[in-house]
Amino acid sequence: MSEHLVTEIAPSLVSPQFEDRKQQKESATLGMWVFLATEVLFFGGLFATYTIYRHLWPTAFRQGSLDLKWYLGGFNTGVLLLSSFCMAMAVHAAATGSNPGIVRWLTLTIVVGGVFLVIKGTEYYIEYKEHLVPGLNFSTTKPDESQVGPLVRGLDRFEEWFDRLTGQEEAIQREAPWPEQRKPQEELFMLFYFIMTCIHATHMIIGICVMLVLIAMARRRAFSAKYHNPVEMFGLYWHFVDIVWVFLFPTLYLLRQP
Amino acid sequence: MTEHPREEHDHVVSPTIYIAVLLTLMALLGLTLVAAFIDLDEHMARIMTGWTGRPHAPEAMYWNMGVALLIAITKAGLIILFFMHIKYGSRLAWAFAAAGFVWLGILLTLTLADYLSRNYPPGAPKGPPQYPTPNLMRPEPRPNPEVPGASAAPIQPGLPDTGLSFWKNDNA
Repeated sequence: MSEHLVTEIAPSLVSPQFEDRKQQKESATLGMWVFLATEVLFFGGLFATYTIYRHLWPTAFRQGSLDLKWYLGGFNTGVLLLSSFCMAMAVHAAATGSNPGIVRWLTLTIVVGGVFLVIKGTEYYIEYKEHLVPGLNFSTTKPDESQVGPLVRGLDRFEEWFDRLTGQEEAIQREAPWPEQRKPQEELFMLFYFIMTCIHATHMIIGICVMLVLIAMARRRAFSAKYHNPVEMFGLYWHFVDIVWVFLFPTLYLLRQP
Repeated sequence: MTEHPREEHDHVVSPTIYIAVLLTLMALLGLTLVAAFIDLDEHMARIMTGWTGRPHAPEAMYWNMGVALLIAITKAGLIILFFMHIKYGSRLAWAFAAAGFVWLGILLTLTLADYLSRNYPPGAPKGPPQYPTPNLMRPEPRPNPEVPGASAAPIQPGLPDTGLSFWKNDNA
């Protein structure tokens, strides 16, 4: 009796196929996790392939990893964790029924996610300048310092300074006289790097598009403390994209030790 | 804010928890960066066997990879439990969230059980099966069917052979 009463007061909150709000939310959560499971396996296949080839060519993959900018990747990890936090706060705002709060926190999530994409794009530009893009301009010869442009030159100076500061230079020299030539298999590493990060960035761009829709809905006050499933389910997606990066970062950027 | 017996409210997680999780994640990020710059193999070899030689540990033990992976799993766990609300979810939600990762574990375990154990143990006599695996980086040149009688270019010496060469460092 009372259940019917609730449904009558707010007919749009619970779709007809569900008993109540709780069941509706549970169904949405399970459906989202099924989708995320397919995503786990989608990225997992790439990670498995990467592991096999890394095992096959350990030194080439390590050299490839040393050609990436670990500090940009590390900073980006922090940026993405922050955007995940903003997303969690957006869901919190939704759970307390604050539509302006949703708009605020989702906008912040988009801005922080945008910073991630800009840095990622800068990295791609640097890799292009360093002749690391497979199929386009990958070369086993490292380009001359005069060809790479001021940005890459500046970052190289920073790396040299940092390596000297931490004694890494000595460690690298100790292992092998550091070659100016790249190993041909490094192209394979860069291929993995570009495919994995591009798919990840695509997920982020899709996420930003969905967030724009959610913001438009929140501005029309479409959500309340009792109904905010879209925001909460999208939150799961965004956090998942964050988790993917949490694994991508050490696998691609941090193969420093022999 | 008290729970009504009939109309159950969603579990609202306090922002304090979110901030604490964010700070922990940032600390773990710092930790993984520091760990990446330390040759853990060398240190562990020294601790476990008293080995002091250089230039590097006698055998790769993947301590760096293990630590980096452990930290990444911890970070992912924190995000799943707190940001994705699985800690407050139903048992069914737990099962659904775990399913993808369990299957990923099967995928990785069975695949790597094959690849990592080929030619093992390293000292064993060379025996079957040694499946010829195409070298994707440098495919063998094939004869050109357009030109009758033209032979394939000889494989240049010094290039990697076409078999899988596990347990062989490509440093050599």
